[in-house]
Amino acid sequence: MQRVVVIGGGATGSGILRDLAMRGIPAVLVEQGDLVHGTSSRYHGLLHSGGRYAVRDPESARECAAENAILRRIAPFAVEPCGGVFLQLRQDDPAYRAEWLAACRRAGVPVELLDLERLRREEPGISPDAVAAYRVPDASVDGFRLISGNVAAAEALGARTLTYRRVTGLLMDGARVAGVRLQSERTDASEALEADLVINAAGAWTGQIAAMAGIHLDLVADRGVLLVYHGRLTSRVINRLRPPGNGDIFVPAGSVTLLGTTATPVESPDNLEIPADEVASLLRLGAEMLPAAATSRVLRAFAGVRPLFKAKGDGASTRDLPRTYQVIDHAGAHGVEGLVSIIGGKLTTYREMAEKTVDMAAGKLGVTAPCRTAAEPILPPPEPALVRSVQAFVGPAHAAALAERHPAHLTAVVRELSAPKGSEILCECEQVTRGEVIAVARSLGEPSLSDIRRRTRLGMGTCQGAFCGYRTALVLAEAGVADPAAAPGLMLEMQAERWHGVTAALPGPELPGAELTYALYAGLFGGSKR
Amino acid sequence: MKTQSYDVIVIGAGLAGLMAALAAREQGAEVAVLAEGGGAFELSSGCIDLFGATESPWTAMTGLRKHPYTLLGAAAVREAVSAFVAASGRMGLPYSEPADGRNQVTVTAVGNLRTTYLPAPGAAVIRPDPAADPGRRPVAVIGLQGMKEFHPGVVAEGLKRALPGTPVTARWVPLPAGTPDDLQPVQLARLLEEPVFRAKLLQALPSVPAGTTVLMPAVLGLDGAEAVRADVSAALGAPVGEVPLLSPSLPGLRLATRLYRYVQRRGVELCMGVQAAGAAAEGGRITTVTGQTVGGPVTYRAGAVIVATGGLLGRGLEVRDRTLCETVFDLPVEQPGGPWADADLLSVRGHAFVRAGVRTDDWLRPEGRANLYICGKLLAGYDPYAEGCGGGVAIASGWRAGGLAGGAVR
Repeated sequence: MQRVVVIGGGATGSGILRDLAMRGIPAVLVEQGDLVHGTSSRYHGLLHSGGRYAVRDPESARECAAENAILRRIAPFAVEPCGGVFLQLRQDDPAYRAEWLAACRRAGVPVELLDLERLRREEPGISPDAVAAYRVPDASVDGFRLISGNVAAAEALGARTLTYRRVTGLLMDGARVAGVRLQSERTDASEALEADLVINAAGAWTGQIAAMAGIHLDLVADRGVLLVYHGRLTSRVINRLRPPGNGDIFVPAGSVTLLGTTATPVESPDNLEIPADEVASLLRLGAEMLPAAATSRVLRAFAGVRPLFKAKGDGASTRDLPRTYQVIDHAGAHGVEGLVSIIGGKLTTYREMAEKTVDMAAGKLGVTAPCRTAAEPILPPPEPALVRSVQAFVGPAHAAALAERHPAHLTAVVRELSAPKGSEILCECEQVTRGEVIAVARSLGEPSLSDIRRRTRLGMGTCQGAFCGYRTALVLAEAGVADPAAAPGLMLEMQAERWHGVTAALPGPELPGAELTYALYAGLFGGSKR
Repeated sequence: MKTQSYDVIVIGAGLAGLMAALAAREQGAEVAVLAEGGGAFELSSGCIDLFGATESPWTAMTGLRKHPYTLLGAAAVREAVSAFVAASGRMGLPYSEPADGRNQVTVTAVGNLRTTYLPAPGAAVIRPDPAADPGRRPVAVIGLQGMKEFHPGVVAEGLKRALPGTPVTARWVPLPAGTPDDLQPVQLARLLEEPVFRAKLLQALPSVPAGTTVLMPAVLGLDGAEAVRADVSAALGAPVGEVPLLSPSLPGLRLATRLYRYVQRRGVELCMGVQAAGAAAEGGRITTVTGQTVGGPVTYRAGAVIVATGGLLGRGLEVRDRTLCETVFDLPVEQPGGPWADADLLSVRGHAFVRAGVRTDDWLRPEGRANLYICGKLLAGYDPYAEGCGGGVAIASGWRAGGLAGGAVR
């Protein structure tokens, strides 16, 4: 039987699962949606150097600087070491520069002054208003790869994961939490999982879980809106050298560039609305750093919700709330045994958050094994022979990408690539093959196209899935992975989800693309729902 | 700079522009069509929608407000539809108007039913009304193995839901040995026009019981589609109906091919690869249009100009600084009043940005323009996808604009 149930399949929960497994503690992770369906996939994908927090939140900055170095070492399959720049513009407060440099030095964030003329040659898109630039070790991190890597590593050690299971209540044994009650989001079946300890790592939903034990946590759901641009507007992360605000981070990722973010407190972590004024503010502010951001094609907008915690006396703006974290043993704090919550934090520091949480859990369970998550790579490097066999089907560059995307399932990918038509391209923008899609789909059972998109980047390019989603649903039916009767629903679900993001970014150069999608799907589905 | 003179210049070679050119020519005008590309034909099922999912489009269109149909009036729409049907017969791609004036029902690539007024020649037409088909004729869906754009089982499952009680079967037929991998629909259609390849496919086809409705993907030939369809039907022992694919759609391309040839035969000069880049006016009248061509700029002198450049997809409209603008004459564009789009992709209300366009007087002229006419998707006030009226508005407004322009200059 599991000793621990971990609630939440985001970065923190998956990191905790791996840490528990490495210390020999049997555990099950439960997640209400797909892995990473929450905030860990709804952010800019920046592996922070710490520079952003150096002045106002030095503790977070120190944590980021340390964890950034660790993650590059243990998760090379998820990190694109593109580097980053802090850019000061003519209109920014010149005095902030010295303050920032001193704070970075104190926090251990490596900073190096750049030759602006050379930077302009390398990054021709930056504004003529730039007056100074500093290099920092920012990177782009693929939340999905990172989390599925942690889960795969934990599963290899015997841990289990249950996705699409919503926690509907906690099993109580008097004042002790004795497990969780789950309901399947797919079949409506319910089940109970008993455990010696429940770890609440539900991110933005942590408060809702704690409330099931009658505990009130002072959390703030802070919604951030981001834009996804077609193509790479920049080859490295571009930050603005001023106090953190809206629209001051560009992160290149795959074939797109992300611009983030806004910060608006919301009542519910499920509030993923994308207000037009926030989109307009991002466009305006983003263009101050990269003028092309005003006119380049925005593929879509999306929103995620940061789980921040609010200590007494913190200021009113969510920008001022710390990005640090806190591990709470509810036995001491609220008289409820058997429940530990981890609140706050950010993806860059997920590993350290997991370590501190499992330190507390291990203490409560009487386990003395130390944390080893920083010392060992999450996954062994892909076997060269296996990568070579992938190359036979898709070429060297793409083989390396596949090895990074599917470190734990590469054997299955090779098997499906070698099947007839396995190397046929289904998504031209992201070069996703039929073999990759089928291997991923088989590993998931009955996935949605969004589940496949998160694992392969299918549909994340120019057509936003209008053409490749259609093809993929038909191919899944042909391969026997999807029921032919379900194929139309699969393509429509993907388009409905994408439409939400596309329409939020209107009106801009993406408008003809939106009309094309609408024309095609109204045609396929017999018009609107009239 | 080279200068050429015409009575009427049409900008845009989509369905609306070509109908406008034909109508102006009918009035005896000298007509040139200037076009960058070939319209939205490759996205089109080739079927001409008139209005809605209702049984009679004629009844439904009478209740509209601020819609292109209300400018045109039902009589003009009827005249234009008849003109299109007559022209389609003369171009060898005969469409036929339903005798009862009601919408027909076709099948989409995911097995949904879709209404239209003039099905593309060869399109699969279904009679979902049990009274019209009391015996429930069986339906057989046949896919071609190796084509990733069509799955017969998906179509069959959709039809089972849409037509309860109708026996529907699905099967795959292999493409002839040696067929190249990863064939695109257009390449496959061309291959099927080659006698040797076609004979091999015909051999692989099953024969079906008489009275079966057979559905196949719409790849049965491009220009020679009629012959391919006839051979396939003969091999099956029952007439085959085609299901249009997402894009490129062969039935749309067939219509384009025939229309281009037909307008040229009628004496219209079809100038492709010309981007209309500007115009000169005197006293509220356009006198010349400048076109950019690979051979340099050309000036076209014209008595009247018809703008059939389309909406966002045709680039008759584009977004500049979060505002929709008309691309050739910078005509005023009616912007969406509230939210640009509904949150629901297939919302019954349609989407406001699709209704944006240029408003005109009853003679299809923007305010203050004496010899400039608008037709097709550039017109404001309709959502062809929600209303099912794209083909109808293109034909009717094009025909009317061409008639007015041609009449005015003669």
